[in-house]
Amino acid sequence: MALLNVSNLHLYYRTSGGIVPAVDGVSFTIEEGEALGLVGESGAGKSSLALALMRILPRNIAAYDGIIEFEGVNCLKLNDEEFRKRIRWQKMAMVFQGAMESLNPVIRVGHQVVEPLLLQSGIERQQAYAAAQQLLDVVLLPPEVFHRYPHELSGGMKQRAMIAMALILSPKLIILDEPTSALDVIIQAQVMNLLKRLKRELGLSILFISHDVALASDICDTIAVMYAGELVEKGTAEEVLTEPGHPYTQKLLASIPKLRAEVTPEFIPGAPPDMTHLPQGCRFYPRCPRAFEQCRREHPLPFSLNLRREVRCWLFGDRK
Amino acid sequence: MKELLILEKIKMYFQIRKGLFRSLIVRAVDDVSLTLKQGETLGIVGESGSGKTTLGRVSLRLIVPTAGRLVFDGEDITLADDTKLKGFRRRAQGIFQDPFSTIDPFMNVYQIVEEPLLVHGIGDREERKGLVCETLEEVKLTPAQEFMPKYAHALSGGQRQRIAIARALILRPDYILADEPISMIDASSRAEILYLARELQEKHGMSFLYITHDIATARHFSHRIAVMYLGKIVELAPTSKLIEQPCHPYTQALIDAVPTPDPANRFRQRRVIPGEPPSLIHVPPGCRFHPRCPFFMPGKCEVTEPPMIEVREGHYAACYLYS
Repeated sequence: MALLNVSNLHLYYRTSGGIVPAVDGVSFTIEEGEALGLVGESGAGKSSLALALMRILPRNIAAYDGIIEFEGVNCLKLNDEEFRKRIRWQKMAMVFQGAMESLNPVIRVGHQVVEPLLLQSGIERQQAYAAAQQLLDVVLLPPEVFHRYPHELSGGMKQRAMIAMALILSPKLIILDEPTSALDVIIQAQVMNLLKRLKRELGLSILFISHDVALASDICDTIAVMYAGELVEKGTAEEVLTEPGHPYTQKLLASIPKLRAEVTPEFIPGAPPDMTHLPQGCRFYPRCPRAFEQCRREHPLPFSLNLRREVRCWLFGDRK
Repeated sequence: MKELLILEKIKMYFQIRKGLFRSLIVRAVDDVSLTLKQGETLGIVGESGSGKTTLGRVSLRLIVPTAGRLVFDGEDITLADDTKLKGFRRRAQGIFQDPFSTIDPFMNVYQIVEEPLLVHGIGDREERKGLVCETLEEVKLTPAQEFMPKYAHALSGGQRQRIAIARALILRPDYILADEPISMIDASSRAEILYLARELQEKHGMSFLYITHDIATARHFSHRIAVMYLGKIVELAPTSKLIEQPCHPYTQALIDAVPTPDPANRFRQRRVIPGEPPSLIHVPPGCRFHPRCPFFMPGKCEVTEPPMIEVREGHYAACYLYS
């Protein structure tokens, strides 16, 4: 049984411009110890999906339904209090985008890391502090960081502290939302090495959210590509990176500037669709180089190529 | 090729006050010499805090350097007064990182792109309109008529950055500073902006100083690359040489850190240097990179600063491994 099983998840926002289907019928699974990469352009709904999983929702929700099954428990059936007590941060924790702004500037780093643990009943203060100290060591932060304020830390150190905070209750799944996008490339590589080690040593499952497919390939076993609220392709890293099926995935991969190869980067003309006025057929159709008549008329279904591989594109379906 | 812009031994120090009586010196740019040739794109690659943006600001004479000389088209403009600078400003323009804050939200596209013409008193109303129209077409905002009345909020990041390019381009400058022009644009449209800049360069022959943290885009869009670390240039070479045969250990580390989409990546740890760049206030003695360098030679690297030497033709590196 998969650790996390998400099926037909919807999260719609109500805005002045109309309804925005930020997460529109998304399904995927994450196995124990597996890292799934969720990639796509900004505005594709990646962060909304993460918030939907963690149930950290804004007020203007128009729809929030589907199945989020964690270790067999359907989270959407739990009420807020139960979800908070049983799932959020206990089983499923998150490192938010922009570590720089996510820490409280007036509280010492160690106290922020230890906070979730202190809120647990039946744990001694001393014990909790020792656990936090140990965790700082695991994420390769020097012990004195415990008593520092966030402004005394560099970006890379803050990001490590955020990772420690997410790990403090020993969750099974950790959601990383653009965990390195504000960091310089060398620091980014250091953090990625750390994440890889944690995944291996703690057997962590990871949902890795990034706009950068190349970065996702550094840690992810499987990759899901999101476009305009939907998953357009998913499969193993090998399948998606070496034989991308969806034209969007192909274009996304071609847009990465290669450092060592002569091939020049491409770009995808046009912009993602207005989420309040989505095209009737395929959402990528206006930018797709391989679109045909059916793409304009009919919304494609996710076609399965094998057990875990799906492509939402008419090229893989029955042409009419 | 003619030398258009010469930066000679540029130093840019800032004083910051710490408490009531103490003050500290930040050496943002420390003894940098560069030459930008006509029609060339020179990439400046470095991490945040390397001083690359400060160097860019000096190159536009937006700030007066603490020491050193700035020569544009044969004329020393280091300490030029406003009248003399106006001529320079017409020929040197900038495109900056954030297309969301560098464009006035209360001006429409036409007003934004026309403004440089008004400042420099170019043309009458009709001529200006013609020029704006032509420039918008050049940056592929077509049909121009449709974009002119729009305001920034109605445009995407890529479109805004093209407005910024049009605003820089309309004066037909010889030199354009592009400071992280694509870092806030979606990955899928970054190449589009860079191809546009290259196309305009081929057409008009202007020079670019392309400042970026991303060595991969610099590789595809610069003729030469200079790598900066803590206020200094550590390596300068023609692009292919720098990427294929990097000399300085820091350049090597930067190249190693760039991820490539390869499913095998997840099975290996990436080779990476330890630590983070120290602050510009407490610059390490000797070679600034020595505390993180895998080839650190005690008794040498931490004692005196390595000079810039020509390792092979046109390829310069400041490292004792080569002397």
